[in-house]
Amino acid sequence: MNEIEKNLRDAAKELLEKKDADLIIGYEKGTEDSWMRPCFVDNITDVEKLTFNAFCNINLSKYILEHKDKKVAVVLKGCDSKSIVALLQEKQINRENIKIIGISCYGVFDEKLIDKNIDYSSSAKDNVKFLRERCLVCENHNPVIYDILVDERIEEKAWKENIYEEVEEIEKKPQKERLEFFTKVFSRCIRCLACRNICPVCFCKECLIDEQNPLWVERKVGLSDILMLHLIRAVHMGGRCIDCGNCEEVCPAKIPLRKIYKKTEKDVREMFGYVPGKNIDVPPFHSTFSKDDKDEYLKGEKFGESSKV
Amino acid sequence: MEKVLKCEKIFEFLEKIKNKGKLIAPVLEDGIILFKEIKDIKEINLSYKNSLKPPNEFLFPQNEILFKFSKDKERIELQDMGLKDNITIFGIHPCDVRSIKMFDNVFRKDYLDKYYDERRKNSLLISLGCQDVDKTCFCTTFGIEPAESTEADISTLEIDGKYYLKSFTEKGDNLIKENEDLFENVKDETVSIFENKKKEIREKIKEKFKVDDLPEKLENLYDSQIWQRVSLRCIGCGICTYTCPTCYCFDIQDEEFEIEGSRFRCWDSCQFKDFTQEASGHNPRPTKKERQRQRYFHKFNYFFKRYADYACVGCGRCVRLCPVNIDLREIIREIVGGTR
Repeated sequence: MNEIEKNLRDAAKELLEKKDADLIIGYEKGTEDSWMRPCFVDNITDVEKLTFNAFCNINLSKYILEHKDKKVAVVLKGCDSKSIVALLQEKQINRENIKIIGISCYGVFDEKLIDKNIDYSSSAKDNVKFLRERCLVCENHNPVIYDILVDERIEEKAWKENIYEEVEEIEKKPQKERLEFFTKVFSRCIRCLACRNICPVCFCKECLIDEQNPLWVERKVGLSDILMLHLIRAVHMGGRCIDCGNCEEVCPAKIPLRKIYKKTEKDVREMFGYVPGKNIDVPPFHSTFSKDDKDEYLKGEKFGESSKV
Repeated sequence: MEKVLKCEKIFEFLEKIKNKGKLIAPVLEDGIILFKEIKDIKEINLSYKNSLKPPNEFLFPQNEILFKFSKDKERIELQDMGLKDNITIFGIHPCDVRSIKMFDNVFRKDYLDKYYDERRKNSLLISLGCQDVDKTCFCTTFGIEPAESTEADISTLEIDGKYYLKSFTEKGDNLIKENEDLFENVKDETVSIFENKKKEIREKIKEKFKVDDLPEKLENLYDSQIWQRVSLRCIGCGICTYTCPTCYCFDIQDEEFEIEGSRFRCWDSCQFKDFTQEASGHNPRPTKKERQRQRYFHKFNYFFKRYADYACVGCGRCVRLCPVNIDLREIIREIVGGTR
């Protein structure tokens, strides 16, 4: 058992014993080698299930919303902890009822990239080329908010210089090419809505996509309905999404969803100087405005020209 | 004709099929296998394990317009829809062929669903035996042979770069007769090579469950803790149901704009919160626990009681694609024990 695992289990035991938490939400080994999955522990015996490695991809903050009636402790990596900031800003969770077990993280492996030499205990630090794209542009290896830290803090440095490189690559392309690309990838969408369900900041009791009265989006897999639901999500994500990367990872059709949300993140940063996941004490981005806000939301193109396809 | 035939020119065969009607076959796109209408034979990918969506989506599409309507002063015009195109679906693995047989029970037995029926009548199924199996495959549990489907019109299996065929229906026989020059009879030794290859592939599947007792065992597990435990990590998405070849629930919706519109059906998922949401506000399956339980009961108890068959073909899609590793095999293992 490695140091992190030991510290994690000790922390969980103590929280349960002292009744500081009724439920621990962490990770356990899944049914195949590289599969790690969420784990729910409410007794001391089960604490042994808790573990952590570089395959722990799921952002566990979402589950807190399902256990608001309890005191929960949740294991969060650097990126995941930023979701808590958004949930606190938007008053979805009560800080007193949660204990955050923070983990400083070098990265999580991308199942599509790993080769057979990588196993359960491989370190992310020594295998950067197998990390998720999301991890290469990580600005917060260390949790931004926590109660207990189970490992050493690590140097805050993104593996990639330009964190918006993949967005800029697409921005450079002419509109026709961009449309072709997104049409191709979104045509595969099967509307499973796993992207929405795994997202910690998607918590509307009745989602616009499901609403029948009024009907915003038809229950079809035609391009216009699919693009509509994804664009609705993208606009709702701007200024709230902290790029945990789960949406793209869970997508069974391998749609590069992060590109769209990273673009809204970049726009919000550039247009409004706002970066999500940093500060609990500021009001949520969507609920504020300033007289200095720019009006040019149709950047660089004359109105009318950009609406032509 | 249940004899084995050799086809050296499989792609020429497919080209001829494509020129006479719609050919649907697997293509690789960004690491995903999709069954698509083929424009260029070279696009076809035959070394795949599972497609994203099950190929029975061509018989039961994710969206299907049932009829169109329009209003003209006092009259309402209805226009019936339904597909009358002939299609050939090539490259279906035996598990997916079995799911079509299963759908025949659902859509043709007690009630004839004419939309499914028409598509089914107008389609020809050519299966492709698996060469390599995934660790998550368990089709043999349901008596499915991964290398050959006796339930398709024609079954193909590749051995050492050549394709061997068998036809099981009149439709299949006719297609082969039409293209006689592309086929040759095989020697007796080849038949045994064929059988050995089938055995070799079958033995690659390591996991096999004894599911005979499963429906009965489930009867006593309705109130078990299993469902609550499993559902804690479920995110309530539709991945398992939408990629499942045996799932067939659908919703019916109308799309209208001013004086015209259409009624269509679309796939629905028992895992969605609003699946059993009633107009009163009541929901008989209010939490994920009830919805997860429903899935297992439907597949291995309710369906069995109705059709003496399981609503599962062991394709492994739900196992591989569930984002939080809710593993159907693990649950079956817990209920009946397994051979692993």
